[in-house]
Amino acid sequence: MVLALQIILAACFIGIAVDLLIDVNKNHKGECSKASKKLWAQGMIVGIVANFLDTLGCGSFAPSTFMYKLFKNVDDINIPGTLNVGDTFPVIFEALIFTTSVECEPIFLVAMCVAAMIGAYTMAEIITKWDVNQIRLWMGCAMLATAVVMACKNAGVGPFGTIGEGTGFTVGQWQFWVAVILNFFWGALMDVGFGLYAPCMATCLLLGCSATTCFPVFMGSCALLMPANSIVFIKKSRYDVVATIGNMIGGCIGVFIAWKIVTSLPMHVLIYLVCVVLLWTSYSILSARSKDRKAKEA
Amino acid sequence: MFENEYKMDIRRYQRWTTPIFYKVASFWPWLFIFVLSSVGAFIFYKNDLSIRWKSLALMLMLISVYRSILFRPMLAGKQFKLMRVQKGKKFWNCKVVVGNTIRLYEDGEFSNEIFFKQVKKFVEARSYFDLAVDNDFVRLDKAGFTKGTPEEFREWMLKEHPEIPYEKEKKEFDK
Repeated sequence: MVLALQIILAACFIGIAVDLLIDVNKNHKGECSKASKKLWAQGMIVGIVANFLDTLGCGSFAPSTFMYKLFKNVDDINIPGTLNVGDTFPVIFEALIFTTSVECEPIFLVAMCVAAMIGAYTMAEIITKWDVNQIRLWMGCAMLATAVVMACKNAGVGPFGTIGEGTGFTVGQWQFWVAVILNFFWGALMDVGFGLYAPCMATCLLLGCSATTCFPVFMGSCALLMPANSIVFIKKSRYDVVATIGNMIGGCIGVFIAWKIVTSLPMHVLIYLVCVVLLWTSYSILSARSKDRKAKEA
Repeated sequence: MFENEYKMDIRRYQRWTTPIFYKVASFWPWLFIFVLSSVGAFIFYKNDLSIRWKSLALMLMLISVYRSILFRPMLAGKQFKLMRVQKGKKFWNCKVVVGNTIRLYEDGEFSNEIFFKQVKKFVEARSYFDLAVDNDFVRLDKAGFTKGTPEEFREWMLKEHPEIPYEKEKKEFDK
């Protein structure tokens, strides 16, 4: 009985993602049959590589954009829509496999997702008035500091203590509320283009969660937030259908490979990997700030 | 000539752009998932199963409620908030003047003119009329006619512009 229910629930989760695939295919059937094998292969490669990196916490938008420009298989105007629609499927898949394979306190997981969702909704108007470069500076420095602290903790150096091994927090713990409030802000920052993965990961790690517990939390938050963007693009049809479906299918392969790696790595190696991701995020945020300032000055 | 005026605020925008959730076809699969995951959560907690499965059941409950009921009003609300930021005001007064052309005014200032040859469909709902133009529409509130009445407008449109197909609004949007 329990096993049957588990299988049905997993099937429902996959059904959510399949629904998106059907939606895309229904509206653009002709384009799929006309596309060459080369285009399909390029779409799949982008999906595999970008979503492999995404699952590790690096984000998929930057590598996908780079590869679309390299292959020249998607018009520039269609890139934002292709990324949003195409990445929704693998993100839901990520959330499914990590939720069922990693231990995370259920109430904590749901509270974090709800907080990000409410943050993205209620703060949309306020956050767009803030100085994005100022946020970039603070976020970039915070990610850098977190990477250093986590690396020290992992190596047992300095006054930062050791790495946490918790599977999340309960309502009675102060860490629960700090994490929820911060995830509310990370959700809000998604409105102005900041990824949620790295800050959410940093929050959970600093508060004492184990490295693996962070994964379902940030993936679940994004699985709820991302379709909000996608629907707009689905309605406007501003996306490349072959690249989108390639991204959806290839993305799941990339996610699966990354999941195998993440769940099989020893914890201290995984923490160092997370530190590299945080450093990369810090660099990309600060370099975006620097580029933007130079462009404004020019 | 007909004139129609209304205040565009977040409540009106959400009401006009959000379908009645239980009339949308996808509501029923979501309801099924919600019921199933609720039962699952109950059984998983009762049998004290691994927290992975409890998490999955709770996540599915959350996703089903979010996608079936909350998603569209939240999306519409967010779109309107961003429009408010672009326009720099909390709400604005819309005026639609229908004569030889369709002239649109926002807070008393002329904003756009549409020709009837651009109008693809004439749609009627319980509380509004829509003149569909490409991917957009001009909306007239039935309670907002300051010149003419909704009945006169419908008759005038059908008589003067029979080339524009007349339709009833889809049931999920018919408010």
